Amino acid sequence: MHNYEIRILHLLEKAGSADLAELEERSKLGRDQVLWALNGLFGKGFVKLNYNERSKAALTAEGKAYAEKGLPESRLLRRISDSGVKTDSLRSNEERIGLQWLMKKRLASVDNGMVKISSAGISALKNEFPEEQLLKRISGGRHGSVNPSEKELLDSLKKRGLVDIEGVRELEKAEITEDGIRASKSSDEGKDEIGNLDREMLAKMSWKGKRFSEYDLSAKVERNYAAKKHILKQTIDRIKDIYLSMGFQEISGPAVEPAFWVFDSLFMPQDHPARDKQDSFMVNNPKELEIADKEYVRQIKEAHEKSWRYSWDIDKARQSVLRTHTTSVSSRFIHQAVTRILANEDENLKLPIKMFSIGRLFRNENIDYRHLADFYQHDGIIIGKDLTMANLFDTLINIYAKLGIGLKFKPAYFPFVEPGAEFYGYSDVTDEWVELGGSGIMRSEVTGIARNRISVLAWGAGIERVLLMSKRNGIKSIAELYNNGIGFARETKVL
Amino acid sequence: MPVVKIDKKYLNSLIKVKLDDEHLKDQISKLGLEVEELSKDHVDIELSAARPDLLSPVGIARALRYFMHKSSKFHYGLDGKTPEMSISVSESVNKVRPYIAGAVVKGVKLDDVSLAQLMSFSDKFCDTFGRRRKKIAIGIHDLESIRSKELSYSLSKDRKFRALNYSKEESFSHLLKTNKKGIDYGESIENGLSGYPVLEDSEGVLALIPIINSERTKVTKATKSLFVDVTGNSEYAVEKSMAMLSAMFSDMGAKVYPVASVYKDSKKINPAMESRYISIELDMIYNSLGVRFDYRAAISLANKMGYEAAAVGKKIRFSVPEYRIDVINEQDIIEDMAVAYGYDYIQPVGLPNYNPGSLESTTTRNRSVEELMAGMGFMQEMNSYLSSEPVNYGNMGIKQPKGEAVTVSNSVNASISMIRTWLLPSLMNNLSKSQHERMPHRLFELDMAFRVASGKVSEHYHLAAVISDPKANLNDIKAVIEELMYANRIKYTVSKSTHGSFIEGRCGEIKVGGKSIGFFGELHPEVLSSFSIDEPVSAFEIDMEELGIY
Repeated sequence: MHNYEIRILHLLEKAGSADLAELEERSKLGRDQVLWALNGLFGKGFVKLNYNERSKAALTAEGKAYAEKGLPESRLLRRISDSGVKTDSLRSNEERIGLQWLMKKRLASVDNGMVKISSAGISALKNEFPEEQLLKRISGGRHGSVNPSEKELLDSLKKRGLVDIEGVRELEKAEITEDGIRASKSSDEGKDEIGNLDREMLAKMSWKGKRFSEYDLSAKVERNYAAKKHILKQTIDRIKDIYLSMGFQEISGPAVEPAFWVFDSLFMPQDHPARDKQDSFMVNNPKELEIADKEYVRQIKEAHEKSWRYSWDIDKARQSVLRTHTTSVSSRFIHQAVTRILANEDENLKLPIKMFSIGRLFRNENIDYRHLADFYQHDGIIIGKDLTMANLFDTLINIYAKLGIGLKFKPAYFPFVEPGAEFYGYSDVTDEWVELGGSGIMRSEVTGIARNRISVLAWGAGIERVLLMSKRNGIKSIAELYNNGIGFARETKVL
Repeated sequence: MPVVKIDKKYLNSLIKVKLDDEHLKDQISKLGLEVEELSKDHVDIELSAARPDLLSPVGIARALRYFMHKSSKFHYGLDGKTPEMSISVSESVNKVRPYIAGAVVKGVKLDDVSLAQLMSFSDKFCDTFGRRRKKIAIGIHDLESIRSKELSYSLSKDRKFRALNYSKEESFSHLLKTNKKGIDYGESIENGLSGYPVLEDSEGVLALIPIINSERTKVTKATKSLFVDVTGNSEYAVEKSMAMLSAMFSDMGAKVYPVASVYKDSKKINPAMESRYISIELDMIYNSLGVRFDYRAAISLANKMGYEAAAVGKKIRFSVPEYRIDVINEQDIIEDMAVAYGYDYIQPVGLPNYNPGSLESTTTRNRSVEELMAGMGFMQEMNSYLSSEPVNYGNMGIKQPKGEAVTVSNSVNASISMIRTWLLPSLMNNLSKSQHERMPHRLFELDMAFRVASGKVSEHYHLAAVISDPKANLNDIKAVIEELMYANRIKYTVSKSTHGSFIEGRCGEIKVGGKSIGFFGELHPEVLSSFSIDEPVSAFEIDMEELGIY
């Protein structure tokens, strides 16, 4: 018998039976060591072990979403309660799931292309669905314990993939057997062996000449959680370091901008669909923001009116918006840099100038557990003479090679570049080429200077997507990266 | 971007070259368009917003023929010079929709497929390039049902007419309120409406513009000749669109004749089929693409994209086809040259590094603070900047200071109405979601918070941290502030303070150089309960821009 086994057996001989906490305290052993010793004793027939079994439930992502907004069938049931709805109008995935369950539970029927509520459905409307009550309890509960009486309900949620159930077996009590008592009497713990080394032993050197008891190296231990930088922040820092290594200077700019820097300066006409209120957040405090450079405003007005043949309106350019891309930062900088270059054309400034920025952008889109309305973008620009698409491709290929992503390019249209190219990276998660960002040579209407004097390469791309490109990172959606509890951060991989 | 479903047989009949599926898909994607789906009968193509001429199967077929060097017809003329009809334009339309162009098209051959594709093209064009018919709308009528050579375009009072697919007459106002197109597109004319824009012949109304045509001039498979009108608020866009339509009808095998638009002071004949010329030096193409072409190669690539081209001195002179509304100047043509050459064939060329790279001082500062916080056992969180008044203020037990927050007016999400003014509400939300995780919970966030003061927005980095465990108290969090300040050798003072989020008597203000930079304390039980947090929480938040670390 191992020393630990003997120690536990002696304790049990005195007490007859004991629970885990008592054994831990009296033996001065750790929980894992006590459990290991008890298993060994059980194998030899010296102890009987009594377990307490229960289920522990946790919500899946879908389950969490339903706990918050309700099950698809209950939401659908509320909608059809008065007049019924046409089956063709139920197009979304959730609506279809809802309909399936309503039929299955006989709460509604389909007649002549119309979904109609049944009498069972009407009475079901009076209360919250039992599944919803359970989902909420699991989501709010500290351990997600479930009564045995709810087992059936819980199983149905599990079948729908809304909860994960884990059976948990906890040791309640260990009892010594007749054989155990006999074995205990005839065995003696090695009196000269040292368990935990302590300060006193070290001071008195009482450890000399004694044996150290051995650890069971295969004993399971709990992880020592590390506090760490967020995985997205690690990615951002990595991308910043790549730019730094390639001679790029970091810049930044405001997230709340007059529409001028987000749209007008980037040659998007004032009736461009991307400026549609549906896509961009319009800010009403402060409603307008000033545009400092009057001369540049005049240039942009002229470029718009000449190319798009409409009357450009300064008020629309002053409207403040949340930027829909960080290219607004590039646009401000290009204007400053070109002004500086023109002011001293005696080559004091060494071209090419390379700049990058990383920041949040905002899209007025429906949010759910997979989609968010704000996320990160990195934007790069190179200002120089006779910069070509060949230079652009080379730069982007190098940046992404350092992230382990291969690229390919396709023609694409963005109002502010010509030629324009989208770039795609190969994802080992979906085994396909995924769109990463847009790029091109800035139009002279944006830079305010003829292309044969100064040309500007520009690109912008999402950052979260970089994490989604490889299975190793274990990240499934962009939204998953934000607004989390500590559990998510503890489970993320370090880059 | 719009996706069009094109009948494959129809497309092949227009291309006039036999292409198997693989080849067809390959050629379309080389043009810069995306094939979404290719089935037995259909090809679904995602179109580019930039090329309205490619919104129709006719345009796609034309581009493919050029691309495969199967077409050398670079100019589109008209089949007659004198106007076949005229439209007199009343001044009354000036405020609503001032411009109109017409064309007469004879000898069209329509069947179910080509008629459906023509109508779907017209809808897509008016939705995208036409900005939901605000900028441009197209009307297509059966010419033989029009009773007079002279038409009038004017603002009319509310009247009744039999609209397309209606069995009886309805008033304009009724159509605007009840017809689907009336509801969808009515706003383009309703602004300050003092009448309804109407196109008429001697017998009556041909169309309520830009909503719906008359049943009388409905186009069917049997229709042989068309009257086409384009209306809008930009004369340039109206004329260019008309020219594009004219080229399209020519490619469908029909003959196109002009129509005069008679304004008060001027008379315009459309379609105006004049070629534009743009000359570009070969060097400029090389300096944009990094690929050198000789004259012959450049001309051949130009032809591939439908430009007639010729060497003139050191330049290549490109003739811009009438239907290429999108081409503004030489930059657009250079892109077409790159597309014709193929992006895959452009060999990457490296650039020198003349200037050293650098990071912003906020980046290096933030990195060192993040390391320090992680070293003290705090896990970093990242949260959305977007928030709402209940989360940012109400749940935190404080009243909203008037005008402090950047607010948005048009959010599609009920949970978003402003940008956060501080980080602590986000961290409280993180704690709320951590309830079942092993204690202790130590979290921090270092990111932006937004405030408005005298019409300007300040966007500052804030640092906030929370500790939640059964014994969390004020001194635990103060110890963190102490270490943060000591590590950066910053002298600070604390003074007693009150704050709606914290327990009275357990809240302090942090000052550096006499200036308030933040606060710390134990969260009030009411606040904990509004976030469903079961254990005590202590927290601090400081404005990094006021801290003076660089």
